[in-house]
Amino acid sequence: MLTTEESQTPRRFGEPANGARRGQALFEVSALPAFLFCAVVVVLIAITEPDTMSAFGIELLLTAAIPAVFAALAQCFIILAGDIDLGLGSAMGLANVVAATLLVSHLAEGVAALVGLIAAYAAIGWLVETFHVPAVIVTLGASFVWLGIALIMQPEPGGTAPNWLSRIYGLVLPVVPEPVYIVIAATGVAYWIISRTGYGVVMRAFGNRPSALTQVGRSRLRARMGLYSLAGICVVLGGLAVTAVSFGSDANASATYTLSSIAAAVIGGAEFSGGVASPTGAVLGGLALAFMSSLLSFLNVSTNYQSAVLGLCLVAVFGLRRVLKRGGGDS
Amino acid sequence: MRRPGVWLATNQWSWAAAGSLILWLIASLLSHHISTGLLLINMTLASFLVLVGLGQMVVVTSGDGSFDLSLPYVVTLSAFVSGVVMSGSNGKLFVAILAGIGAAIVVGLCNGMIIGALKVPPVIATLATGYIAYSIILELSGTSEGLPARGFRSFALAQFHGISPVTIIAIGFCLLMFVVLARSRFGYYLAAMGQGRRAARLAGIPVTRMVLLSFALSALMGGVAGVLLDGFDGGAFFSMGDPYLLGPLGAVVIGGTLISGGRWSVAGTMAGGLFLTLLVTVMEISKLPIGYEDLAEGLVVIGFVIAASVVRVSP
Repeated sequence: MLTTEESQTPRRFGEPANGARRGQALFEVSALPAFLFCAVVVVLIAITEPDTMSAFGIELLLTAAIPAVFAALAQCFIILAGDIDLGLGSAMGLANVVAATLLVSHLAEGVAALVGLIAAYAAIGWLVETFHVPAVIVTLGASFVWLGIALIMQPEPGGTAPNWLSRIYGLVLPVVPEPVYIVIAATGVAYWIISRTGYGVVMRAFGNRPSALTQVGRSRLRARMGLYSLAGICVVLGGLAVTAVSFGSDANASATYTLSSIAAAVIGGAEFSGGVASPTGAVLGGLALAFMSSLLSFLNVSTNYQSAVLGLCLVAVFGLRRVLKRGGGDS
Repeated sequence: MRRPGVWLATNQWSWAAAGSLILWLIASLLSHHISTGLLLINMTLASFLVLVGLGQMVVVTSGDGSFDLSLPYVVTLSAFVSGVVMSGSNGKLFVAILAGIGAAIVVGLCNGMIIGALKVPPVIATLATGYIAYSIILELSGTSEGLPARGFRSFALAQFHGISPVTIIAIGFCLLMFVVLARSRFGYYLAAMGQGRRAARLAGIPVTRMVLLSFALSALMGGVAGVLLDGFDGGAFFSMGDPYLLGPLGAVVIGGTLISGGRWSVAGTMAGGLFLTLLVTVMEISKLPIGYEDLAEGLVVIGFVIAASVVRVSP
């Protein structure tokens, strides 16, 4: 039913030139700068520190990057809705605290709390759509709420990772190390939902042109809440990953993911106007940024300069994207 | 019944002002005596939030989803630069103040140029310059504590009948900003840009130059706050700007500045900053465990925007 809708009224879903339809390819042009960026960083790592290209080295590199991957995916879903989540890092911090405290002592309550966090994300989507309030401000306010709850639950860093979670993250899988499977699975599922399911098309169309959704008789509220719920799920998975990687929790430790996830999604080709964001690109962007800090420490660059390099890369990637776009726009 | 509704919807600063009054009374009840001193201390603390908020307000008003995410780093950077130049002695005070504010303006101009020339969205551009500024901050923090001149420190901490010079400076900048926004060509252009970028461009407003100016002005306010904060805190430290990422934006929105641009409120930013500061004070007086003040602050910000949207729609 959805495919007929789409084929009958293709132009209603966003701009025909480079709108929602282009997002259907697994590897879009918009993700190219992220791929190049990621590839260059990996090659440089391989040159400077050849040992990292062993299975163990790759496992170490990728394990540390998994939280960033989930953060990038979460931000990608929000940007797809045309919004920005300024509370993402704090929400991941809360999921981290819940996972390292409540989930260890009371499994059922812990699961309920994490489901509650996903529901809260859906509720933010509801607030934004129903009251026409800017998502930036609501998520900004929500960031204080997440941090507050996390600090009430656990004022000082501590906690432990649940045994089962450590076991999941410690699996030994054939051929390639486990984190490779996790990253590919997360990207694949996100891509499949957004680009291959019927409702994924609706959600992308919503970000691209909300009014088009009303015209074909679909609920804007449901689409936005759907995207926010997906983001919430990624936030919870990210919080669990932080717990598994750091063996504990700190309400404040994940705050940096707010800004780095925006950077990752944008490097990955996301547009703030909504409807255009690629999970593949966002994941590549997240990986590139995470590998970048490893590379800089291999190169003995003072940690002081790491954030400056990150900032320069952000501007450079954007410049590259402008050039590519100008070239691709004519064809 | 209609008229008060309309007035409330168009004068959102009054909500934050009324809220501040209520919080002050609650704080007085909790500490068992009504004290103007308490209010004045909160005004001093709120001054930094308001100064940075004025900058954020200018950028937000320019529209097109503009935010200045580099402000917290600008605050820290200018505190360090002025502190390093002063390095504890009174001799270079004026050079130091100029250097601190100058460093801030450089960051602001970079923001404006990256946005204007490379067409990078403001959120990303200010994120990037913020990251770069942070590296400079880390370098400076390794070599110096950014100690303020002794005279400057006692000036920042001075009180005339309970009123701090910091408060007076903040109010001065508020008045100045009001005049600039309400009476100058810059102010008219800014509001027009916020209401419609395309229309403003077609009407002949130099949009690119205005973007450059608005980000420079925003950074200038961050620089003023940073230099004052160096004196107030008695030195600079690398995380001193952290509260100025979300707080000022909260104050601006609570005060009734439209987040989509085109409408600003200096009085609202002042009242919003005072309100958020008093909220933290009340939480501290009531001795709630850590975390509750953040929770309350977040719920208040969300509550304010929703209430504002309900009132805006209903009359």
